[in-house]
Amino acid sequence: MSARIRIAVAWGFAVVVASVAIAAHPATELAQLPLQEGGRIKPLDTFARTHLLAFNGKQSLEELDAITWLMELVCDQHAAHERQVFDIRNPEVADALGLERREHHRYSFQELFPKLREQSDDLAKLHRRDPQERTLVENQLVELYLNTLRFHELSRVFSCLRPQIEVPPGPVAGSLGLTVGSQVSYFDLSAHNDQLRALIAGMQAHGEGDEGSAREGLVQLAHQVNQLLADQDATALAVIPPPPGSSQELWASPWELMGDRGSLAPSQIAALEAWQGLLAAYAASSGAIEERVAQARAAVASAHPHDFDPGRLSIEVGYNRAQLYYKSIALYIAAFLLIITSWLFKPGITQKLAFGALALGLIPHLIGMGLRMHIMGRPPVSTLYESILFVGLIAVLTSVVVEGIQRTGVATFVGSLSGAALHFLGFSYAADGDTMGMLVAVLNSNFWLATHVVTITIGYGASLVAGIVGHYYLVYHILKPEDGPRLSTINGNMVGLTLVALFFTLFGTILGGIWADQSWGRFWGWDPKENGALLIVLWQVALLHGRLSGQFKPLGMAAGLVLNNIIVILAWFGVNLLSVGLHTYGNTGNVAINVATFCALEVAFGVIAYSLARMRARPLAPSGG
Amino acid sequence: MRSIRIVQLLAHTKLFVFSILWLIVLVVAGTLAQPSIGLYLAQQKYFASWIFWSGPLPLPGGRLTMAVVFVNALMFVITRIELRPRKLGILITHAGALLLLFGGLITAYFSEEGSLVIPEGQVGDYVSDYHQQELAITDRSEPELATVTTFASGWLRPGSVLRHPQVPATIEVLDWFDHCEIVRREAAAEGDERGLLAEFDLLRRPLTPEFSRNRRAALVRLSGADPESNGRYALLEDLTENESFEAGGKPFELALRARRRYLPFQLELLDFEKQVHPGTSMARSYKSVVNLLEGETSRRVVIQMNEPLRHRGYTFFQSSFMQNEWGDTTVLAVVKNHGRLFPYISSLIMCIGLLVHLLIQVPRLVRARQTGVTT
Repeated sequence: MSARIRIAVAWGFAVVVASVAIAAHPATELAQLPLQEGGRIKPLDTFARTHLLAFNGKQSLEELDAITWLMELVCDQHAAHERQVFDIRNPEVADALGLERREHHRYSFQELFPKLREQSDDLAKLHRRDPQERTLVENQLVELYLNTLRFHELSRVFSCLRPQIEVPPGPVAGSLGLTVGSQVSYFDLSAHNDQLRALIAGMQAHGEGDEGSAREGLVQLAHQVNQLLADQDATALAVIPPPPGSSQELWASPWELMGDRGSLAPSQIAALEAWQGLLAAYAASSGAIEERVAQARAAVASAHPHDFDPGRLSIEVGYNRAQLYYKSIALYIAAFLLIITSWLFKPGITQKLAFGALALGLIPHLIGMGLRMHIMGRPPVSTLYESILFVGLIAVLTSVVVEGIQRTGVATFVGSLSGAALHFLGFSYAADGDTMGMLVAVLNSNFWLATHVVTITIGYGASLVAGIVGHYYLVYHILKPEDGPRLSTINGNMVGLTLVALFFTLFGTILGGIWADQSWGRFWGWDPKENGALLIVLWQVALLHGRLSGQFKPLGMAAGLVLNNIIVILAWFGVNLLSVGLHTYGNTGNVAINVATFCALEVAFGVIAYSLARMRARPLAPSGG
Repeated sequence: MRSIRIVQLLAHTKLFVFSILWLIVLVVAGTLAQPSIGLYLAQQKYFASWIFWSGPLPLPGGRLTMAVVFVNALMFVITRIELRPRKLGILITHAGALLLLFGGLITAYFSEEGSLVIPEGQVGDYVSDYHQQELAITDRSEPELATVTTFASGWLRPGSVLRHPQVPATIEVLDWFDHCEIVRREAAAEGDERGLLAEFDLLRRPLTPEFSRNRRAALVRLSGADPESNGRYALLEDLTENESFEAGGKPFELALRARRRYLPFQLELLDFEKQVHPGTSMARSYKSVVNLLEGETSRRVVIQMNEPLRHRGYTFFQSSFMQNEWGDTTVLAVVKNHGRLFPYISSLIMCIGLLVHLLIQVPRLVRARQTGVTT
C-alpha cells in the first residue's frame, strides 16, 4: 500500500512542477493584449496563431513566431507582403494560378495577389457556389482566395493609426499647427477637423487669390486622405472596447471609429492613442514597446469591458505557448514503442518504463484540459474537439488504473494506442482555427454540459478502451490459445470494462434525455444522436446479457467489442453526416471518408481475427478429449 | 406444466438478447430512414408501431419489441432473480429499467404536445397540435360570439360524412392530401367549385422529410346549405383566409387547421428578446417575457432556453421565434406528459443499482494478475 501512496505523491509532485513550469513560461505582454473575435475576448496571441494556421498550416513560421508575424503584418506592409507565408500544398492549385511549383510550397502575398486578381471574377463565382458541389481544387482555391483577402485586410487594419500622411508645404501646415514635411496619421489629422473645416470655408469665401498655395496644400492633403480611405473597410481587429457604462458589448476596430472624432468616448481615444504609440514604437523597434503595451492595456482596463479578465488572457497565452498536447502525445508514442519493445525483449524494465511514460503523458494532458476549463469558464466537453481530447484522457486514465492493478502491459498498450490516436484526431480538428468557440443557446448551460456531456464522453472513452481490449483478446487468442489463465484475465477485463462503459453510456444517455426534457419538453425524440447513444447502450446490454445466457462466449464477446468500437465512432462522428436532427453541428467531407475507412478496417479485423481465433481454438478441443 | 414452460420462456435471457438485437436493427433502420422520410414518419413507422410492414412482410415494431423486453424483464425479476447480496445491484437495476419502460408507455399514450404561437402584445390560450388536424366550422351570425364546431382528424378520411346539430348543412370528405401543391386551374371547371377551388386545383405531392413543411388539405362537398353555397371546397391547412358559406340564412366559416387544445389559463407575450454573441450572428439566448393570466390574477413569467414554465401539468418551452417588420412572435413548445417523472426516478434507481453491482463485480473481474493465475 505504501508503494501506491509513494507513487501517488510522486505523481502529484510532478503535476505541481509541470504547472509551475507552464505558469513561468515567458508570455510577453504584447501577446496578451485583448481583442474581441467570434463573440469572445481573446489575446492577440490566439488571433495571430489561428490566422497564421489558416494561411500557413502552422502556428509559427520558421523564422518568426505568430505574434511577431502579425505585428509585422500590421506595421510593415512591405516586408509582410514579401514574406512567403501562404502554404499551397496542392500543386494543382499552384498550376491553376500559373505559379511555379515549389518544394517548400510557400508563396508570398505579393506573388499571389496579381494572379488571384486576374481570376477574381471566376473565384468570386466559385465562392458563391455550394461547397458540396466544388471539387477539392476548387475548394482550396476559394480558401486561398478568402485567405488572401483576409491577409490584405489585416495588413491595412491599423493604417489609420500609422503616420502615412505627409504634411504639405504652404499655409495649411501652419493653420493646423503641424510641421511641414512631417508624417501624421489619419487619426492625428482627425483631431484638426475643425481647423480644416474652417480653412475650407475661408477659402470658399475668399475665392481665388493668394489662397492658391493653401488650396494646393489642401488638395494634396485630400488626395492622401482619399487614398487612405480605401482602407476603411479593413475592420478585422476589434481591439477598442466600448466606452465604460455602455450597454453594448461590441468592440471596434480602429477604422470603425474614424468617422466622427467628436462622438468618441475618452476611453476610446485613449485606447486609439495607446495603440498608435505602440505601433510607432514597434515599427521603430524602440525600447518603449513594453511601456506602450502597458498603456494600451491600461486603456482597455479603464473601459471596464464586459467579460474582460487579464488573468485569463495571460493563461490562454501560456496555454498556446506550452503546446501541452504535443508533449502528451510524445509520451504516449514513447509508451507505445516501449511496450512493443517489451514484448520483444527485456520485458521487465521496458514494461515499467512504458507505464511510466504513459502515466507521465497524463500530466500535460490533464493540465491542458484544466487550463481550457479555466479559460472558457465551462466544463471540459462542449465541442467535438474537446470531446476528442476528453475521450483520450479518459482512455489513458482508465488504462493507467487497470495497469496499476494488473501490471500485465496490456492496459499500457491499450492506453498509449488510444491516447496517441485520439490526439492525432484532435490535431486535425484543431487545424480548423480557434478551438475555443462560443456555444449556441441550447448548449449554453454549464450544468448539463458538466453532467450529460461529460458522462456520455466518459462512456465513449471507456467503450473504446473495452473495444481495444477486445482486439487484444482476439490477437492473443490467435497467438497463444493455450494460455488459459492469461486469456481469462483479459476476459475479466473485457467484461469489467464493458460494465463500466455501460454505466457511463447508460447514464449519459438518460441524462441527455433529461436535458432534452428540460429544454425541448420531451425525454426521447428518436433523434439520430440519441439513437447513436442508445445503440451503444443496447449493444453493451446485449453483450453482457448474451454472456450470461451463453449466447456469447469470450471470443464472441471480444468480436462484439470490436463491433462496439464501430458503433461508438458512428454515434460520435457518423451521426453528423446524416445532416438531420438537433445535434448536427459542423460537417466536413473528410469525416465521412475517415469514418467509413475506420469501420471497414474494424469489420475486416473483426471477421479475420475472429475466424483465425476460432480455427486456432478448434484443434485444442479434440486433443483435450 | 405448460404455463410454467411459458413463464420460463418469457423470463429467458435469450429472449431478452434477441429482443435487444432486434431493437438494434429497428434503431438503425429508423435512423437511416430519417434523411429520406423525415423524423416523424420514421418514428411512427419503426418506433411507435406494434407491427410494421416491410414489403409484404409484417415485422414487430418498436412498441411490440419493448413490450416483449418489459414482460421478459418483469418475468425474470419475479421468477428467476436470486435474493442474495451479490445480486442486489442487478435486482435494483432491473427494477429501474422496468420503471423506465413503463414510463415510456405512459408517455406514448397519455402525453400531448404542440405549440403555442403568440405575437408580442397578444394573448394565446390554445395549443396547436404538431401532427393532428381538425375541421372547424364557425358560426359567424353573432358578431360578439363565435360558435365553433370541430371534427377531429379521425373524421377526415375520404367518404366520411360530417353532420352536427349546430350546423344546418352536411359535409362529405371527398379526398385527403398529406402534402399538396396549389396550381392555377387549367382543366375545365365542373361548375360546382366554390371559393379557392374556383380558380385553383390541388395537386398531390410526395411527402417532404420535414413534417411541418407538408401542406395538408381536404377536398369536401357541402350540401344542404343555401343553394349558392352548396358545392365543392378545397380546405388547406392554416390558411389565413377561411372559406365562407351560408346555411339556414346564417354565415359560416370553414377551415382546416392544426388541432387546438384550449388551456385553462392564458399567456400574454409582453416581450421577446434574442441575444447574440457580440460580433457574431450566433444566438446566445432567447427569452420570452409573458403574463400568465388565470382568472382574476396575473403573474409575470420569464421563459428561456433550459428554463421552461411549468404550470398545472403543462410545460412551456422556448422553442422558436419569428421576427419581422410587424414585431416579434414567440413560438413555445407545450407538453402535457403524465409520465414525465419516470425517467428521473428510474434513472436514479438504475444508477444506484449499477453502482452497487459495479462495486461488487468489477474488483473481482479486474483482479490482479497473481490471483488471476489460479488454475
